[in-house]
Amino acid sequence: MSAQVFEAVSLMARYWFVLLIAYILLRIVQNSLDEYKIDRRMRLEGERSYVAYLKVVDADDPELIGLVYGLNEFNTIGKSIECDITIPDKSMRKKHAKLYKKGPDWILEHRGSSIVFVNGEESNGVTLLNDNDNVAFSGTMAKFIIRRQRNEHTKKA
Amino acid sequence: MNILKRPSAISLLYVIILFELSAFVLIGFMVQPFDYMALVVGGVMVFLLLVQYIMLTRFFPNLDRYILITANVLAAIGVIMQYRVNPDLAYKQLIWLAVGMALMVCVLIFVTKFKVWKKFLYPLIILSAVLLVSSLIFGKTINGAKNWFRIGIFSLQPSEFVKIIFVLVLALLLEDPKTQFKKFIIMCFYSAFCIAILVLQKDLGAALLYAGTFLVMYFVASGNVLVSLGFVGVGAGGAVVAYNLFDHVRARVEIWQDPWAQYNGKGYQIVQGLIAMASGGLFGVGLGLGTPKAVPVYYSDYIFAIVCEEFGILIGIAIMCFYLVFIIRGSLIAVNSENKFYALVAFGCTTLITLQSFIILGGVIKLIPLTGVTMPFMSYGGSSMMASMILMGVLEAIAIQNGNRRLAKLAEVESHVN
Repeated sequence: MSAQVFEAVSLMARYWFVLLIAYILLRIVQNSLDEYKIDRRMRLEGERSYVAYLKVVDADDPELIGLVYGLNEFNTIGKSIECDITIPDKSMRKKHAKLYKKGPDWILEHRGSSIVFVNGEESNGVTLLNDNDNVAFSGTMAKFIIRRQRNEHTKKA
Repeated sequence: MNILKRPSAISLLYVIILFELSAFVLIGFMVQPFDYMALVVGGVMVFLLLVQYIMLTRFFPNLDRYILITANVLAAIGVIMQYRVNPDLAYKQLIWLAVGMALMVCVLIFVTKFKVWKKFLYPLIILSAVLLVSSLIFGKTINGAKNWFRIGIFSLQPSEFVKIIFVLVLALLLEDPKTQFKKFIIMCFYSAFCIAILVLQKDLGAALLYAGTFLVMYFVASGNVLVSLGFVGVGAGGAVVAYNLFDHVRARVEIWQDPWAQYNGKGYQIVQGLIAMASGGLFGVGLGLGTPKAVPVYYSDYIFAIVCEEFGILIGIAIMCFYLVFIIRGSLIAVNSENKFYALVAFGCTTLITLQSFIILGGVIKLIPLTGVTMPFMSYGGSSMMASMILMGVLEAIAIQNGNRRLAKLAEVESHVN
């Protein structure tokens, strides 16, 4: 390749290099962002050491169905982001209910005018929850699952 | 469960391979018969990239792919520039790259398995002190800094490796900063000792890097604004003292203020670098058409200037963005890590890599006084490449631990719920 031809090719190639490097950079940023979103979702679902779970079985928003929320010893549940458990479903109240552990019992307490059904029966204020109970917050149905201790779990298996 | 699958980055690798091969083919045509060695070097680069990526993602599915790819892109640009200017250096750099990758895998496996760091606090302190002091006493002076060890045919720069120990020691000491006053005192003395030795060795870049890393790690660990500001004040005071005490510090600042006044003397390098970058413009003068040999130390500290000359400032900015990717990914790894020790180690490693790149980039573009440190992953140099790869290995190990722990948690949740 003569010097002139090389010069022409090299002058063209510099745009090609910029294009490739820019593409690589943007792809890294894009993929990184995607992975971050996945990571965040994974963290929401499984990171903290929970004592019980709420699994959404029915909701107005079909994307919510199947999601598992981990519960700590004391939780506020509602649509608002301020709640410990935020279920962004239309039928939920902003602050819908409180769910907490008192001794060995789990207690569901709903707030004011919000409606809560436990296993199909309307709750009047405070309800004792058992493992595998179905809880309905207005139109959002969730299953309440108490986490088994590790040794119990292996015994059963 | 499909949300566990991480997005594959293999298609991104094809673009990187395309970039490497097209650059090496172009360099091959630079001389008059076609230079086949360029293709060989390009082929080896591609081979290393693919082997590394495929093996690592196969054995460690929770690896952070993007810092690995970013490091590879930076190394590729480095090797391309070195081959274009001086093929002999590029061959050596390829060997260092391969050694570094192997070392990275070893470190990665070691850090994921090794759990008893706490017992090694004092041995690590003593080891780093011995390395630094012996390099001060027995060291050889290369490029104005007395910080090299000669072992056979190799020259090693102990400060490059001590910085890794430095981060480990700081992480161990800062794990619980509020309760233990004794550890705080040890930390201050240890850091001051390391930095003082580096200043005495005339290795100002490394001293700045250590001081900056110390400051960042202390602030991240304690969140104590007042004490951190106090350390900034101490650092500034130390800089003033060093400026008045040592001629070499004063010379650096004078050159930085007006390099053109000493164009024929010490300012030559900075001015040549600035001219190289300016002549490159947005898109560069074209690969193979510049005059990179006009810039002193083009292969190491000043590689950014010659990259800007031939590839253009746009790619220069992209390189800075690649280091930003490092900051973001590294911080994410730190935030997700198991305990404070690993979080601090991850953050310290990230700080070392990115602060080092900032110190040299700032020096080359005359934003801060030029102090000789290498560009991580890009510059020629065995010590630098190995140290950068070790840092990346530590980061990857912590990322893998995070991923494994998260998978275990998720599996537990699944087993309870379904």
